[in-house]
Amino acid sequence: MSKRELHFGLMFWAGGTHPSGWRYPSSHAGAAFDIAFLQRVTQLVEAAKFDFLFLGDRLASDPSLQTTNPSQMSRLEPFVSGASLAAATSHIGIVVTANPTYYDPYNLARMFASLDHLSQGRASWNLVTGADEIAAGNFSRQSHWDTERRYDWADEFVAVVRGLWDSDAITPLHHKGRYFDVAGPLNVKRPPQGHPVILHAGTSDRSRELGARDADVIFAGQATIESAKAYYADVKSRARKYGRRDADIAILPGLTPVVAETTEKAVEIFDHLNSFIALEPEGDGGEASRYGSLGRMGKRRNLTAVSAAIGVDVSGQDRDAPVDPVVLAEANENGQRLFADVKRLTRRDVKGPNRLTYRDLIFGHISTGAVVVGNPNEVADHIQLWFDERAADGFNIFPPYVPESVEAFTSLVVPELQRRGLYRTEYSGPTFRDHLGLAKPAAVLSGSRSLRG
Amino acid sequence: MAKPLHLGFLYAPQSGSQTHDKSFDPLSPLHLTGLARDLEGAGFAFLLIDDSVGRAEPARSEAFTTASFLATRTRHIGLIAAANTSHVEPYNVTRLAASLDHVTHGRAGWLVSTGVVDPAGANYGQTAVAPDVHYERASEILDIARRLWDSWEDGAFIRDKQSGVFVDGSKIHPIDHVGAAFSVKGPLNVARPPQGQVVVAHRVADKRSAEFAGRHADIAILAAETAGDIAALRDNVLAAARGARRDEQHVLLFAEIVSVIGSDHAAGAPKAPVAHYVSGTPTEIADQIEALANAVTLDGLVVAPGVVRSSPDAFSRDVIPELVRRQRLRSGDRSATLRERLGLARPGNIFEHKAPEPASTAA
Repeated sequence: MSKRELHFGLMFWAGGTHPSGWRYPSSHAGAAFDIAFLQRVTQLVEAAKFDFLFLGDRLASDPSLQTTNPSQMSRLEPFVSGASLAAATSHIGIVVTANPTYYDPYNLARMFASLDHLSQGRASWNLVTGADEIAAGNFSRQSHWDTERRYDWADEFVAVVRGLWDSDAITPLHHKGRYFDVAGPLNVKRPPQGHPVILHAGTSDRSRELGARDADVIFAGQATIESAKAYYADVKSRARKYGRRDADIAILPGLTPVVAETTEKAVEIFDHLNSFIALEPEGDGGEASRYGSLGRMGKRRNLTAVSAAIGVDVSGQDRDAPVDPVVLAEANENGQRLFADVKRLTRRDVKGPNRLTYRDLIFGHISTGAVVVGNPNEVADHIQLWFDERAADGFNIFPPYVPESVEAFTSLVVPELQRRGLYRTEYSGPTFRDHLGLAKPAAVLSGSRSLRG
Repeated sequence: MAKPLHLGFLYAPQSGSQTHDKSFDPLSPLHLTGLARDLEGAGFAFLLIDDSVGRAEPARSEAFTTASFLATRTRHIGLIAAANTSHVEPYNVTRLAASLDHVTHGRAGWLVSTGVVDPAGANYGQTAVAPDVHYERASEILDIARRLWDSWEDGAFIRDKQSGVFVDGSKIHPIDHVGAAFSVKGPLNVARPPQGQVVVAHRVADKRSAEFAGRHADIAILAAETAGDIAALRDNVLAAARGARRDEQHVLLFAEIVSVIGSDHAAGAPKAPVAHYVSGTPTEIADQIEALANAVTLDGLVVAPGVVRSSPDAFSRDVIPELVRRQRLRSGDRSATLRERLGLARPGNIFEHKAPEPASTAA
């Protein structure tokens, strides 16, 4: 068995994954529709031997996202950007997000087969079932399907798509199922990878099951190493019952790296980024309702919300004042975690020369997912720890501001990981499956294909 | 003398009317790039990438993915991708077309096809559309697409780093469409296309398709055998345009011609069911094209070769220079958007300077 090695993807929100990343001085605020810029950034991570570029998607827009998540408000359709990026690269995997709830399996099977041919074996499907309720309004639906319905549909949908990829004139599909009647065969030749790589993300039971059965890469969102280890162990054990080996699935949590030559400089960048976040007046500390599970910024951006979270009323404090050590002493378990996290990121404390401010607590409170701030060694240590502890097989890198944070990661952290022997220095082959060490699946040559598992 | 013509190229290998020779692999990115660059170099204004969702030979990639791949491998040629309105969701196809316009910097078009190419319906089992409503559905999708493309005004993005204002919400509009087949709230999640509205093309072979093209299309591609039949289709399109209160100048009329040069017969070119054939030597073909252009007032020709090859087509190599010599072709403005190149204005935005409109209804 070959040595386990790290895998990296780039979560490509062109304006940066930080809610105010687009306001960072060197960022390109109009990046989302500038294909030449998107190609340059893709070439940057390809030169650093990244496994893939991740093109997220949503099937609706809402201008109210502009202060919290402008990258999720509008973007290029991912098959269009994916094919354009394929034309400017040669090795990197291209992950296109597509939601079966609002697609037809024959159309989607064709598009992925086409992208796999055009990219010569680099296409990948990020299968999402859509937590986004407002998309229903754009697709003639009265309401958003519930989880069970979406996953029942998705399970059959994936089986049909795989069947179409395997089909040919001699063995067309002839699928007749609960939701789909599809004769086949597909009118695009079998994709170079056999089946384009399938990604999936999610924490619900149905989602974990779908991922364990059908995904080659799992994108996870755990913020702590403990929860990530538990998720990792659970998904790999579920996969075994489908006859899959641990190495058949790469589990890649998201990670936001803020890295610079020195720790001080990294913290300075982190503070600078946060300084652009528009905070809210005090008073309302409830959850902001927008975009439920997408809610990277679903929490109120004020001290009222912090107070509710930590169990100590700090809503009347001056945001720039140092935090009174009494607050830490009285904070609940949640609050203890928040303080530890903010201290880890900012290197500031309630005592000593570098004091935490109340504003820092707000930023800590609204932050989601795993963040690491530090010099190249510190960031590499974080990555290595998660990798060695089997909390991750690699990471989907969230670039908080683009392109500078991508340049910093590829020029500072990647070489350090290569020195440590944890990460490839060359691609082993031209296809995305090659990067993952996955063989091309044999075609299932049966006239009819039932759900696996 | 008739006005000089624009040239388009129809790419549809394994469509029943077009094949390709052994040197050309329609799934090879290199061959596709070579074809598009050859056509661009020869002066074609646009490349129509046809599509089929039926049981065609497994030989072609999906049109929008293909066009997007070619977008940054070409610089000047228009890229018009086909999508069949009977088998797509309006929100999906609208954003594909808008996005293609962004990555081509305004060279995108959508070749609207409709109806079931038997047995395509078999691949869409439970969602297949009843045959008699294909054009109603197409028409409703076009109405939706036009409003979605306009749902972000040109000035909607502010992107002011200083103030943190990213968009001007008053310039982003839901469309609140409720029609016979679809309800679409909007807005689109793509900035307004560089061309304002993506160029829409439609092939016209009968009264129904002429009606649709007259109402919705920027480019009507007239497919008939004789000059007289082409002229009749042209008149139908223009009558429909007038009926829809469109300026006739806003519908460009192209005749589809199938060129058969020398050895094409031997290569086994399939015969299109209804098409205007030109054949013989390059000089003879240029004569036949001149005769057609003198008989029917046209804005251009769509060349649909019987055989697609990896080497520059004989039409590009020999016929085009002959037509140029006779001053029958427009010289391309190579830096323009497809609309600019074709002399079509960039449309105003239906939402600009207007109160929000009531929900639209299907025609």
